[in-house]
Amino acid sequence: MKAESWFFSWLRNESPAGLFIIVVGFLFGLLSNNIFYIEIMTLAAIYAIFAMSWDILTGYTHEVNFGFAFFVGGAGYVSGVLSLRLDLAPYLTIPIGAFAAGAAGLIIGYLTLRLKGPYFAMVTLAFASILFKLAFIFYNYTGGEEGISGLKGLTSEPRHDFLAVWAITAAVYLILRAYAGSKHGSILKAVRADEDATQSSGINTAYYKIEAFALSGFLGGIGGAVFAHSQMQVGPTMLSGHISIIVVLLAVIGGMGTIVGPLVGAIVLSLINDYLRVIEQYRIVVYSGLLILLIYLAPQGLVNLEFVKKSKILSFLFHGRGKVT
Amino acid sequence: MEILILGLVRGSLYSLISVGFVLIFSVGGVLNLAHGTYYMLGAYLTFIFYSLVFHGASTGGLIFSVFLALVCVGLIAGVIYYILLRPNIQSVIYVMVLTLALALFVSEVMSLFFGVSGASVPSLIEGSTKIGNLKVVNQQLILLPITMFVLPGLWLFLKKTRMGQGIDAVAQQRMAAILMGVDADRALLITYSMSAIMAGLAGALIAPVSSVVPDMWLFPLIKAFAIAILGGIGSLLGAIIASFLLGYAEVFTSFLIGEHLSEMLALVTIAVVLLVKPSGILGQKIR
Repeated sequence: MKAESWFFSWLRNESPAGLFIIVVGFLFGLLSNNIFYIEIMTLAAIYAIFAMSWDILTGYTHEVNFGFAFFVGGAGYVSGVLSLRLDLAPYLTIPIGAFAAGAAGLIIGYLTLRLKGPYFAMVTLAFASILFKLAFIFYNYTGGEEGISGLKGLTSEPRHDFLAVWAITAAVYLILRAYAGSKHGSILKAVRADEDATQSSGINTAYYKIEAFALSGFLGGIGGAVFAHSQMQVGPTMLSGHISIIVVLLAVIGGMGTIVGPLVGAIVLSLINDYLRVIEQYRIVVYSGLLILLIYLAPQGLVNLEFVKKSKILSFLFHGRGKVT
Repeated sequence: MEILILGLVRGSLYSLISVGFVLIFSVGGVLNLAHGTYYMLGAYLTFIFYSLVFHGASTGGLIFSVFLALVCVGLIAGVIYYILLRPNIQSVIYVMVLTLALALFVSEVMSLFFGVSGASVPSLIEGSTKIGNLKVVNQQLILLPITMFVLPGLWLFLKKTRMGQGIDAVAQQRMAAILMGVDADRALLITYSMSAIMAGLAGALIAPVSSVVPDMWLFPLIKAFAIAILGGIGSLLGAIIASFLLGYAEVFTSFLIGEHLSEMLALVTIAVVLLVKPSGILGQKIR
């Protein structure tokens, strides 16, 4: 009974929609025979990892990180070079890449601590662009325009690839939900509301912000390294502004500061993006137009819409029993 | 000598781009990440009017199409501001995300219609001038008089006309300006269009000597931002000084070391200035 009680109290506060997506994802991976859809879902899951780990910093502190590609591409390149030059296996290169990204997050978090709002956004964008240019300057390590190809795949089969990626996605989701629900998450929210007041309550806000930055970088780095291995190549596109923008859009449209929002947003929008393949020529135009429309209609994100919060069922579905903030 | 001329040309191009960016930020606190997009639209619309509407007529036709392109850029910016930005103008995140999404959208539209390889526009003046032992393309030199005309014009507009004074007042103290009867909303709309037109002008003028490609919006945006940071966000004079500083610094590094590093200069500038002295050269202290 005692062993069950913590489980149920956890389950009650969990978002049903998030758990539902994760379970359905596993079932889909086990049952589906369509390799094409499995590969699409793999990509969607990787984007979900990006969007969720972006959300832990930006959604909870409202300091916009516009240079998320720094973590994605950085970890991708680290694991790519290690995999190719030192012939390491993915289960070694992915953690190393993620730790490198986490360490970078620590350093950048420390440097950019004083900056707020637009200044913070732009300095992150600048760091990502510097790394992008460096990838071209050190072309004999990074392969310049073409990048590095011939990485080891995650596993030998697409279905196992998907299941591995999905397991990581689920783990990232649960870790982030736990982190956000803990004292640390509450402090980040307090920083978002009023940093000065939080500081004067005797809380070292700088520490928590850097911690969130490093965690965001670490998990984003896992995503980036997994991305590199599942594509079996790393290129400058992984470092480009395009990735950063898409991650920001997916998370914002899903609903910042909820973790479940970015998960839903990334999965749903990636699937929509794929259905648009019927009009391949206009796909990207229609897709980015749709993203603009969604932001315009729901600036606070889909799961944070007023009617979702007001309606009991929807609010329970997305936010669980926990209080919506 | 070469460095002197090339730095001057580059500096005036940068000041044309960045002054608008700084202006709209200081008036409305709007961080317009679509600024590079208006630069791009200036170039593309000039191309569209010149070769598709006028079928590559005379120099007069080209000047006229530059003019039409600028009017269109101003109108597009006005509509975007009025419909998309105005409802949530106070939210910094909304403005940044939306303008960035717009930038992405426009660049995709352009690559859909005109391909990724780009389009080309003929020069207003052909040929090149020899200064010392350096050949400078005339189209680049034309930037100097235009900048020297536009920047003082902007200053006169802001200080002498009634509407300009209103914009200036909103920039200084938004609340007080509204209480004095300035229509802050309209001031912001006009500033937004105006800054877009200046970016479009820079784009239209540089179109003949650079390539008109769908991802040309990123470069002016990063430059504008570096300049705004270096000069101190909110200070027009600081932005102009910083434009020429960055222009000269880039020409210097590309002469001494190489082109690759000069491209990185703007980015390193952003990072270093923000980390060391976030208020820039002439900016007020930020909170």
